[in-house]
Amino acid sequence: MDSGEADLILFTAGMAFLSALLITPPGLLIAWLLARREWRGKSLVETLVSLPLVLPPVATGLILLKLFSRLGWLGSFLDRFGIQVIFTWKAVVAAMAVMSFPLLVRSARTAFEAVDPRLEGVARSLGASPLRTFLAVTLPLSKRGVAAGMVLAFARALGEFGATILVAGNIPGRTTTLPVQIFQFIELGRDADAGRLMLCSITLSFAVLWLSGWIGKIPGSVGKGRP
Amino acid sequence: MADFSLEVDLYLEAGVTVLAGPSGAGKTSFLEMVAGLRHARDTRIELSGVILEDSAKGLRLPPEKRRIGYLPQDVLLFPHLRVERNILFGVDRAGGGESPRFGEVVELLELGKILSALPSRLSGGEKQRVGLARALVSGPRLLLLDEPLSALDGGLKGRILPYLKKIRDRFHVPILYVTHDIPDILALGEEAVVLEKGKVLAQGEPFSVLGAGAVKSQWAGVSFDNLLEGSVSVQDEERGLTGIKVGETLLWTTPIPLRPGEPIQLAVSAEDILLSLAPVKGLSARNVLSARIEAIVQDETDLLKLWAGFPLLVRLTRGAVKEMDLAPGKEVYLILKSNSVRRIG
Repeated sequence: MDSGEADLILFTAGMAFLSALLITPPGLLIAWLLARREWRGKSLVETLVSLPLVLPPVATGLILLKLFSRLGWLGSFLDRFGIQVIFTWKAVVAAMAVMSFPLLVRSARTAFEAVDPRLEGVARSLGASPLRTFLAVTLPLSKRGVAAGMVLAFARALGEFGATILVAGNIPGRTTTLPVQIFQFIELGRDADAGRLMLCSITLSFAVLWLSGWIGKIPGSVGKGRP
Repeated sequence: MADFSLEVDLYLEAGVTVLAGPSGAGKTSFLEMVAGLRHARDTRIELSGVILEDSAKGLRLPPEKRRIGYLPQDVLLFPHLRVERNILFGVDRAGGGESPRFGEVVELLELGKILSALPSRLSGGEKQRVGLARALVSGPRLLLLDEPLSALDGGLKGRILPYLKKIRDRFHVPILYVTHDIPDILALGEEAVVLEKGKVLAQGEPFSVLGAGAVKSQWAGVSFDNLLEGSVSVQDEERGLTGIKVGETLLWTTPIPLRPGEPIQLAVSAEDILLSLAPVKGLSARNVLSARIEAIVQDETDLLKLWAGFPLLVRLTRGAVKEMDLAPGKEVYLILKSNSVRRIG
């Protein structure tokens, strides 16, 4: 592997990491709302959040393209600040974020639901605001599930291809990610190179998935919510 | 929880009010509503002049602003926090996490030794006390205790009750205490409210509430235990007895291996006490106490409340009460066998 490929892996991992960080605050908020609240239109939100899991990634990429292009809704708004998303690293992060968002929300929601809501009630009765209750009770008791969810989102982001190639393109050194590079090598007939990167990819994904599973399972002083 | 109706219109003034009734009566729901953890239509709750909730005016104070200490039935200690952190949870962080009450409460409830333990390591009784401490240290205007004694067996029950009494006496915070065990209304409260199927059946002085028509069926088959607190006074090895001082009275029990001066909690079942109009000599029973009848409540059997230097309940058949012409004010003698006096703590 040459330094170019090492940079490629670093870039891909870096973008995935950034995307995981980005989706965490809104992801946890939505996960909490889905876990604890009922409202009209809740199933609509649930469906929307799950959509990227089911929609063909290229379709999602196309939607993002239309959104972020200079004529698009978000793109025209950002253009006023001189920010361009399409075919830049920002598009890579955007594609990764959208595709991995549902995984984080699902994991976090399950983790929150496993915390006894009565504990939150007791915290409130002791004077804790809903925010303090979340930070002091819900989150600590669900941290394993939430962490596993974040790692899972990271893993998904690493392997993101369909949406990425559409909205970020394949610009070497600027938007090319590991999966995109593998695809390109295959297109060019460079099977050996493709094979080598494929092994890197497998190793990386394997390690991250294993980490996610390990985090979710460690027997600690607290597993789930009930004492 | 759909389809449940609670029609409660109560005005409570006492220091300790006991809310009793069978399961499903709505007692826990009532507590949750007062704490602000559950809401219903047409609610108005006012505490010491502060309106907590008023559906008609669209007012509702969130639970964190009500300053009410709530001890749920399952205690629900925060499993990820050690005892000390659990107890201090209700203390305002902005105040630096200090509480002048902390030391006092820890001492009163004897929690000094387990402050750094995790909840998973505590016994049932210890969890109850930590839960109580946590509710108390937050400086509440009202304490809501949901079946604080029900998860405990008789022995522990006898041991927690004194703590509740100490809290009542030391902190002067009004207590609303829920139980499904009818005899409990006599254990602690100054006022009792009996609930059934979401409605108030009776309200008033605990012993007289037992006499309310609809309440009688609830204690028909239930045995009433007299819970007494005393200290070991003398060990009489020759006669095989231990003497325990309860108030000014000395009670004899079968030998208990404690040293004189040590505190002890006892129970005597109301069904195990005999009543006599005259002092009896030559009895095998070791305890003959003089007492005065204070009140009688009647159903299939009769429940008498007497004063023998401390309150005692005795259960007799209606026939006996009639034949002996028993009525409030009468001086009688109570006979207790030494082995009916059980140690529970």
